Amino acid sequence: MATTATSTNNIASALIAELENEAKTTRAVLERVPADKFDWKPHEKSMPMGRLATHVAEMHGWTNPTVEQPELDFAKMDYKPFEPKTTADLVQHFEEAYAGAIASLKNAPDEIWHEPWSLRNGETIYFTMPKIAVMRSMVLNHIVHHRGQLSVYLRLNDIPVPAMYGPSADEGQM
Amino acid sequence: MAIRDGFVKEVEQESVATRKILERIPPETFDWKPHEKSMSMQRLSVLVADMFGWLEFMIDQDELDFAKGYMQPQPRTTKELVDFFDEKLAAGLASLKNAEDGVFSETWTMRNGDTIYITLPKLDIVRQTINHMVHHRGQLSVFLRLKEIAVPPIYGPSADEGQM
Repeated sequence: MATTATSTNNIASALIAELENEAKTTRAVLERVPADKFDWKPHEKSMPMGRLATHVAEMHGWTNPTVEQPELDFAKMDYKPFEPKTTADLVQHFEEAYAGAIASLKNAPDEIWHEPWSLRNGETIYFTMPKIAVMRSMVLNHIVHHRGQLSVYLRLNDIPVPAMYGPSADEGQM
Repeated sequence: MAIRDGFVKEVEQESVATRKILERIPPETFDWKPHEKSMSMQRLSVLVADMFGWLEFMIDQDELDFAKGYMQPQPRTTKELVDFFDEKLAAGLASLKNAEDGVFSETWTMRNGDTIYITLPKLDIVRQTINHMVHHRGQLSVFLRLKEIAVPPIYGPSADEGQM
């Protein structure tokens, strides 16, 4: 592909449009997670509902190291999972991570997306992939995956599931 | 790089985990559902297996009209389920691999006779179909867990397998 003096950000624009579209559904799901169910889990090996919902929210923030850094090294991180007390805390955590992701994408020129990006723990490299593949699979699809799980958690607690890609059994009948 | 290249790679990559999940679903759980409003294990797994096959008519045709009928099979065995997935995946990938860039800006419509559900550029519809598959596969992973079937690693380790 020919390079020009002026950077374009067509790839980021498409990612932003997609993230905005998916965020409507994500917000609708998170707003329905009641604080008194944060400790509930469907199986002893499952993540509790509060942890799963927080994970869905925080993953938006993985956009920033994907765009801005060549790697993420667990050995250099001091990660403390956010622990929401209320549904509002949870939604706020999502909104902050989401806004940060959009801001980061707005500054991402097309040429960065083919650069390699690694996930590592010190010397152990888990994977190295082009940034576009990391954004696609480890960030966006990963969010959708866990949000899908969360939709089952809602159903099992008799909380209406919002329409997602189409109607749910509760809402949005065609 | 052609637009199709990224999609082909992604569909192939996502299919690894999808196949692993489908291979673990025993037929005796096909009728099970975790809640009366949920899809049954069979219906959800057939949907997940079917979805990459949608790429065939999303790319090669301009619409899907439910009024003209749309059938999904009812597999009786795990092998039938996985074979269905492999067949649909191959069909979806074949269309994707032939798609020139111009195809992705054409519009595609989902309708039921005169009722139009969505009209979107094919680029968006392909994108959403991948996300849609990932969504239902995520649900299916919870179904597995609830039936004490080991969940394979998907984007990272599960509580059962693939510890880093």
